[in-house]
Amino acid sequence: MARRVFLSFSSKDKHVAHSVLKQLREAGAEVTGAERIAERAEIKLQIADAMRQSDEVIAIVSKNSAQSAWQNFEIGAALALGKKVTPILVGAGIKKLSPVLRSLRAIDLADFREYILSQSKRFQD
Amino acid sequence: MVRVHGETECGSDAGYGNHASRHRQSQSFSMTKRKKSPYTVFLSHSGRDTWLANTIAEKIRAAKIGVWIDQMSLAGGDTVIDAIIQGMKRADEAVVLVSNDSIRSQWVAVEIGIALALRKRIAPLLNNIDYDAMAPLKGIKSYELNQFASLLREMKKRKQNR
Repeated sequence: MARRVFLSFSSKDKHVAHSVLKQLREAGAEVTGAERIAERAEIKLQIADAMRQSDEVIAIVSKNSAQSAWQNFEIGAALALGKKVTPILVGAGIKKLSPVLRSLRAIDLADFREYILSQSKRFQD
Repeated sequence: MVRVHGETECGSDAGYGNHASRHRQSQSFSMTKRKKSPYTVFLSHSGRDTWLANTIAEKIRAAKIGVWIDQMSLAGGDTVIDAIIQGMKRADEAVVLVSNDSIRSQWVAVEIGIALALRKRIAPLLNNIDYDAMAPLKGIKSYELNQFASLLREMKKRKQNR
């Protein structure tokens, strides 16, 4: 069964989100949260349910993230449900991460393709 | 830094000091086998609204309801988030103090996510701000600060009906 990944991002980062989504799908993952790219379906209970059903969360983190109440909401929900959260850094150094994200192992966007390749078994299983 | 308040300030602890009440308590222990945890409210707020949040917390505690309120100054780390999640798990409901500062607070948005993921009842308490200013709280019945007495009455009822 494909790994179910919830993709969290600020709407201002939707272009990056498209690229990350494509790479995750190519690696065999089933991605949720992606409908927000097209429709910005910001219905919190749907988000919480999608989060509950996912195996892990990948959060695209940029300078836009701090101001995105939705993304912080999603990260809170993910952590409360005990999901693994991996921040993908877009032009933001580790020091600019929010205190909540700072303790998590982050991946630079430039290294994301390599990261996915190294984790391909995880996403396909 | 996270401090936990209120857990020993609830009604079930009243009169604990004298022998007779201890005896009554041990009887009720044997009847119910397990003492209920005190009814507790998680109070989410921005650090800039600390004075107001503490004032609200005092009023809630005066109604013999416990309050979990964090006093952190955005110093991060695993312990902080874990403490918040545990605090929310133990809470019976959450109150979010919505203000011009808290709508910009990453922590408040994170705490709303935690509360909804854990299926807690949430009451947005609006401090001179529109009900829809905090996007993830849209659609949830909110209270103006001036209506706090009404929120507190409802909390007391929920405490009794638990």
